Amino acid sequence: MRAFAPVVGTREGDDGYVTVQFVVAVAFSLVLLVLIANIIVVQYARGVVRAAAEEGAQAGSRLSATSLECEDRADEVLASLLGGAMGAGVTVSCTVGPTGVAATVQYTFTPWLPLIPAWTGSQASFAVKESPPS
Amino acid sequence: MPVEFAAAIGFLLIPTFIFVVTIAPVVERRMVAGRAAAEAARAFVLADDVARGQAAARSIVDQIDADHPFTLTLSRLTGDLGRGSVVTATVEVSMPVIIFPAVIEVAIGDYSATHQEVVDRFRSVP
Repeated sequence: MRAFAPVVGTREGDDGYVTVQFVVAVAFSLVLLVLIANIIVVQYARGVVRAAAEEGAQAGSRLSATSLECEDRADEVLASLLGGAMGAGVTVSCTVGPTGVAATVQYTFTPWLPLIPAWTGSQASFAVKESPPS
Repeated sequence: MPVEFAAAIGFLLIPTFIFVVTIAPVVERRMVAGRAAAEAARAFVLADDVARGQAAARSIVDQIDADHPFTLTLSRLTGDLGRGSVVTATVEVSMPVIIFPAVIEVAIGDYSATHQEVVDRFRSVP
């Protein structure tokens, strides 16, 4: 009687095939995912910074408002929406002129990964200042 | 297995990355255009006369435009300064479908933001 040939071949040469490539690929994927998460958080923070600048400019656009009120309103928005370590890297400055208000918020956010430069920039918002009838 | 991972990175992670990077500028342009339209309408309403109002509206849009890397255009400004009149300002901005800041931008058209402001019914001037 003839014996059947084995269906499954040997696994010689496959030892450890997955280890190094798998670890490298997974590590790279996770680094990229962390970078994407960091970008999403920074985009949220930039949105808050823009909102703070707009609120500050609007608060400073009233007839009797000063730059202090503009900065207070922007700080209030930042405190409620961007607390913690990210909020510590944000500064507000307002310029109130006779015809307009400019609110500028500068930010520096620390990246989550090494070798990536800090997220730095500024957002400005402008509003027309109320004036008494001439 | 490495081939599948390379494909996953190429077909899933990189498109996700581009999508994430594109979303923020799209939202930013919508909001900035809306803000510019609102400020233009407000500048017009607060002016002493129509000519100064139009100049003030264009000036504030130009000021906001100068502060951003994209172009804002005040495409429409209608209304007058009569008490209770409605002033309408429209600002347009190009809207990208794919954008990688400072590298590539593919626009699909313009986005229009419109804002209406009512002139105070009890306004003292003109």
